[in-house]
Amino acid sequence: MVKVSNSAVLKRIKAEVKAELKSLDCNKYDRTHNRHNR
Amino acid sequence: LVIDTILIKVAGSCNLDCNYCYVYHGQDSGHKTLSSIMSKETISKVVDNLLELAETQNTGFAIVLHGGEPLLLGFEKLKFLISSLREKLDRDKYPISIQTNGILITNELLDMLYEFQTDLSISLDGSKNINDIGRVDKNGESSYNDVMKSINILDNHQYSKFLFSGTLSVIQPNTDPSEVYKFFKDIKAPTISFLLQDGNYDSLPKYKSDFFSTEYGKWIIGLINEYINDENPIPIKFLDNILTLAMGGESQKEGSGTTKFGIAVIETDGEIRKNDTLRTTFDGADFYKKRPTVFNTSLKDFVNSTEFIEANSEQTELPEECKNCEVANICGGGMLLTRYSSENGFNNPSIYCNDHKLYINHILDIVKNYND
Repeated sequence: MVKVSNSAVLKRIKAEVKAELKSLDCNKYDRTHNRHNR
Repeated sequence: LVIDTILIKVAGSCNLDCNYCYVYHGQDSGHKTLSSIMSKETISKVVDNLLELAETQNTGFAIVLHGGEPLLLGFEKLKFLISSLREKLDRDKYPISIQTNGILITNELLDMLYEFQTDLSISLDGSKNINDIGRVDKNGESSYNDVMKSINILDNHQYSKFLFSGTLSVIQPNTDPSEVYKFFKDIKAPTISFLLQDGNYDSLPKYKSDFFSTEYGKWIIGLINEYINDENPIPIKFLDNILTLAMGGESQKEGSGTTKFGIAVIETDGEIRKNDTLRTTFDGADFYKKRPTVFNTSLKDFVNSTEFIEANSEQTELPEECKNCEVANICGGGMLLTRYSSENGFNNPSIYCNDHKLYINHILDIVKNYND
């Protein structure tokens, strides 16, 4: 059973998406950035 | 087109022989004739090309050292490569990372990598019984103990927090995703990510019975449930990417979303190639027409060529059948290599279409029910 209301993952991602939309920065370069899927 | 990632294949050989490897067990025969490691002369030309590109592009790009097994390049050449890059390129705008099986990690190597701000992602599929399914050496023997010894060295290094960026695993769908997730929590991996096994319409991915089957989709749902319910989760990068898209954000990874980006691959002999994962489709699939190299072509000019832009756009152009699909903006049509058939080329839904739909709809339900 998935309990979504207190999910730490969902809370973090939602905050990141809000920050991303606010900054309009589509080129986030955290140090593990790598678009290549390998 | 903004260049987002440069993949440098510094070694054409490997000290393992993983049975699913896209380099040695795909459709491509090129690896048989490639140099085993990049020469110093080629490294110098690669560095010149990247520094020139950095001067002409405002946004930074990620530099990933890949192979084969990139640590086979050896200490001195590796130091020459990353110190030359780091002399001009700062770590925030130009992250340098190495995707490695980890076996050749030593403390001396880690000190040097830290000095030049280069981090490591380790390829490992899970606990011994799971890792042994695919990740074996040339005698078919387990690589697990050697890799775990290296992870121990990495964990105990004073700068492990910087050096150890995460793990990358290939999904073995006949395993328990909870067990896999718990394993990576136990070894304190800072981030984890997962790959679908390679395959297409001509050659189905291992353990997938047909186009309609959802072995991988079900496995991923098991992983999602474990992840969402975890009070202290370690980031799973590919799921974070899908969750981000489901919440209205931008994709940060190829094979999902519709953001346009450029990836350039430089082979061990200096040839500039298309996305190397295409090698799983047919022999020569990653060749550009004129077979440009860093010796006869300026990378900064080539990335503005029609051929480069068209090759990179293929990933984000949806196949005809996907254009009206309600989750196409999230799956992005899946990885290009998974759309291939000898009949239609790349104009097919991904062979993983039904797996993608299954777990993406599960994520959309979760996001819909989440009110924070």
